Amino acid sequence: MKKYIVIVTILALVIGFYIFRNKPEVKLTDNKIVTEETRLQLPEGWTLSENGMVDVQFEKKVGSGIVPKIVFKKSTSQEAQNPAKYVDKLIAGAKSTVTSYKVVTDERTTADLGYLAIIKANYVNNKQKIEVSQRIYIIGEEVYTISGSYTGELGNEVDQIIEAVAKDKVGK
Amino acid sequence: MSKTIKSYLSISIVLAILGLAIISDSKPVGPVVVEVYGQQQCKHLNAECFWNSSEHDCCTGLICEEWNVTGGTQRYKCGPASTPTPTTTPTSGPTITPTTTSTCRPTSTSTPTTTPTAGPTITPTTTSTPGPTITPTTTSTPGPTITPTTTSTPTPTRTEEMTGTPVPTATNTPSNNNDGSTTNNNGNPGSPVCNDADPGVPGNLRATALGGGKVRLNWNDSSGPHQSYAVAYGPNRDSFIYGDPNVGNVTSYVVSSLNPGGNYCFYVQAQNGCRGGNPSNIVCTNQAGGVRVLGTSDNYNPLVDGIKESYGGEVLGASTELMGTAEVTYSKDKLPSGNRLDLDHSIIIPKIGVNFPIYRPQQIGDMLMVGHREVLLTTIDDRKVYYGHNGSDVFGGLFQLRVGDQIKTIDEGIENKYEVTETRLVNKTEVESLKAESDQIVLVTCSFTKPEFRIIVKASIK
Repeated sequence: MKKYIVIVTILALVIGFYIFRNKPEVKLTDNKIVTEETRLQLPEGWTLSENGMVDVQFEKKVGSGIVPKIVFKKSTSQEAQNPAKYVDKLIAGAKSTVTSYKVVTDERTTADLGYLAIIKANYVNNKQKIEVSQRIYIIGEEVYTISGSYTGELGNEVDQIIEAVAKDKVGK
Repeated sequence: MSKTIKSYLSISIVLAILGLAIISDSKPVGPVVVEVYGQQQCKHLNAECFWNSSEHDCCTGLICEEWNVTGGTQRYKCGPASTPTPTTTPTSGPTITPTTTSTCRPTSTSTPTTTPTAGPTITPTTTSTPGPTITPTTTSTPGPTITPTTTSTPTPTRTEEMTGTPVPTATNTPSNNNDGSTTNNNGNPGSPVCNDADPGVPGNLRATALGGGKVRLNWNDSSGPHQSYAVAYGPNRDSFIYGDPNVGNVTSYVVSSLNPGGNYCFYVQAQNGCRGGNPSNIVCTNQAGGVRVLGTSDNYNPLVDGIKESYGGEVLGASTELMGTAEVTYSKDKLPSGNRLDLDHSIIIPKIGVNFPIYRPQQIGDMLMVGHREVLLTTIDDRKVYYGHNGSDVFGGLFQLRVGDQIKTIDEGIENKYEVTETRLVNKTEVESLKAESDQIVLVTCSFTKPEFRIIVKASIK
């Protein structure tokens, strides 16, 4: 009789285990490749319009008028080895080139990895004031420029993206 | 039934139930993730890619390779397929079971091999031709001909790091099929034969540096039967490692994404069906003895370029800002304006010692961007208007010109002689005064003493 009790107990345990154990959950996930928009946490409405190692562009969909755009560029210049003077020259060149170009903010910092210039300016084109927010990172002879153009009150969004692009592309 | 038999029977039943339970439920404990790759656009050369075990999202002919480490995270980019596969495998999900395969994903049979050095064309009958690989797009050639399956046409891409697109070579490497037979990559049996006629040779290839890493190529149409052209380029005359195997049946093509100031040599090659012709003459930029790119290396202004590139408005192309553009502050420094040199274009005015290269202004919207110490060229109603600052080393001496004085321009090597026919001092609002006759050119600068006025000189061809 004892044997039967043992056998029945074992049977109950085995059956119970397989009944109440957690069944493997089959979970189908759409493994979408993480987009740049998601990865960089772009504000709403901004999309990546061009993506390359050296050329990256973002733009925001707007109903009409100037399309806010942010452009990342990489270039090289021997003059960049003297970054302060080089940036001075670039700004002077921009002023002479875009005659209505006015610098609002010109902040320079030197970090371990290189030189950073944060330049905010505006110019008038077709009777419209265009705001430009730019960062120039200089590491040796390499010059990374992130430029954002917009009109109106998009300064925060533009700066947020510029910051994200800087971290992503320049590592800062 | 004896007790022993009953015991054995019971134990057997227990074991049988246990075995059935194990067999019927042999899946591992825990969630099973089946990753589904949806249809999505493939990543092009140098784009950051997603690397997961043996799968990646680069386009055909590219492979996802290690790029750099940012913030402790290994990152990958799409590189030429010839680049060794990354040896490190990032952590990934447990099981990859793609149920839908992206059409742009490379397969082992369709991945073109890459030729990092100057190589022959795919044309089996012309193997001595250096340079670009031709990927014929037409497949109507009768007979057992080469019909490359490679349909991806790598666009010449930014080559900042000289990692441009190696020309894919539709090599007919025999491969063994599962059934033991041997075919070429296209699945066509036997040796490739091309019966197409010689597509001829394009003539007089010229290169014009456009600035911003772009060079425009122009050539004379090949006289032979051809359907398209291939463009090849590289850092010197012996190395044509980049190119576009099919730019269409055109006689002008802009190669972009070049390293500003870098050396580049180019040639083009006509092609038809399965055959490429002999290459054109080779032209080089920014190289002694060849065509030089002067305006890109010393005049490139990333700040201006960024302003221009990020401008998201309609380019109207009007010239309303022209008159105002000369009002700039004089500086002795040559400033990097970002305007580009118009190659082989200069203006010579012996009387006032002018002999300047001509620059093409950049444009933002309807605003022409003036250079600082540059003579710029624009057109109004198809008439050439040269304008510049009134500094002493630009157009500062323009006020001295009188009717009958000589002006010479050299444009693409062609010399044009003009004689001054009219000089005027006009208010800057008198834009109509810039209009000229069909045989005239117009020179403009601002008045040094009257900022609101412009000096305008018109000269007719002799």
